[in-house]
Amino acid sequence: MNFHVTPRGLARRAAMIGAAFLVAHLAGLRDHASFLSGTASNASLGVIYVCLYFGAVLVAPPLAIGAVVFALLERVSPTTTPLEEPRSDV
Amino acid sequence: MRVRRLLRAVASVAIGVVIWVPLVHLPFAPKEERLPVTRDRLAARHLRLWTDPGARGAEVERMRRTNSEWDFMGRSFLVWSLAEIAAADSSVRASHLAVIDRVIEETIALEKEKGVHFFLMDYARAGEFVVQPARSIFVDGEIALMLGLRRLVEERADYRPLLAERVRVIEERMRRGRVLCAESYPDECWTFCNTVALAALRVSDVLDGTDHRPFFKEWLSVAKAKLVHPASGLLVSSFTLDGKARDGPEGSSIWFAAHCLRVIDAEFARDQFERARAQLARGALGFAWAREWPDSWRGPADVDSGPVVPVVDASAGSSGLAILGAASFGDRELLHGLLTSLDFAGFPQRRGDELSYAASNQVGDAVLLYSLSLGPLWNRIGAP
Repeated sequence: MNFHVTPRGLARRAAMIGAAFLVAHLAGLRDHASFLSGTASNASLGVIYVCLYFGAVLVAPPLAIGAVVFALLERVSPTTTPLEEPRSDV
Repeated sequence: MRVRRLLRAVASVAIGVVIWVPLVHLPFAPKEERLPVTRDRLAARHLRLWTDPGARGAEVERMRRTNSEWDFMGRSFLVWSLAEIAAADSSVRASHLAVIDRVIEETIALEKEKGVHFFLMDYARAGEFVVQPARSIFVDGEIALMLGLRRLVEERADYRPLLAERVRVIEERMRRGRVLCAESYPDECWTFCNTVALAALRVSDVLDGTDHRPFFKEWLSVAKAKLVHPASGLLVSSFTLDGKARDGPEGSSIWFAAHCLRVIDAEFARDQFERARAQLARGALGFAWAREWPDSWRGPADVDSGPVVPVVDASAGSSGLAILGAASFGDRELLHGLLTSLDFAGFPQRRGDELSYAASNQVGDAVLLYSLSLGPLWNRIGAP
């Protein structure tokens, strides 16, 4: 497997998680989080919402911060030469 | 080079984690000056539910599908909350009393029409109450406290005999138990329910000049001798009519029991709260939560404990009632941490001027409302 990790890739992942959560939130899936209290609701949708929420709150911000740190480090001490082209951007 | 790049990426994300984790609580931390607004927004939703039959019906049906007790307790906690708010704020007194009376009257009418099992879980029908005719102190105690707190806000003459009769039944039934406690379910007594009942007797003493101090003294003596879990020093949650423990100490009981005992024996109540705090409350990184069981006793998760988050051992039921305990005993640090956790993992829903929590339900929100309201009446009642 051949992949390159890039700051942009990390930022993109953070944005995707955030966007997915926003879509779920605007679609009203938050209501189904009531499965957590044992109150009857659509537990599957509730699980999806809860996972996306914690992804947006706990995973996306460190990825975004990591992207900035990574970018700064690359600027100071690049690990790729200008001629290297990543085949896929992770 | 690629390995170095990958390691750099991993290290960068790790730095992101180290920076973010200590900060994650900040957006969810409540501001002390905003708590009355939170309370009012919670109240607004409940008041709408009681003036919108369709919305309320859907909410009640949702709860009763899981637990009929929640329908009943949602009423009790709402009435107690509105009574506390009305006692402090004369501008809402008339409107809140109107809702309180509506809740009380409908609840009593349902009890009369549908019988003692209507507000109990289905397993109540699996056996016979030891003391006949069948009555549940869970129902009697909470209705009595509803009547009593309402009358403390503003007297209502026709509630006086209703409270007197409940008080008479409560004491009679409690005296028939070997440990001076009455059944909530067939041969099942709960500390939660019996301490509410004691609080109702105390309110009766304040209102009507009855004197239950000898009974309180007797009850405390028996409770300390027979209902305290030796290893933890906490009152057990449930036991048979003969006093044999069924469930050991549980957060979903003790926080509220300690609050009720404040008006019976302030010192013992504080002792129970401090023990619960030491053995059940936990905190980290700006968040706080409560466990359901102490280290010295572990029970099965049930509808009272709610979901228990592994690793951190956070119980939804215990954490919610710990908010009440912290508010009652003035523990601002614990209260702040618990409210931060609530906002983080409770999924608040703000619609117009209303607030509810998606991970909660009407009774959970009513407990929270009571936590943010209690004080004016409870402090006025005090211990004898």
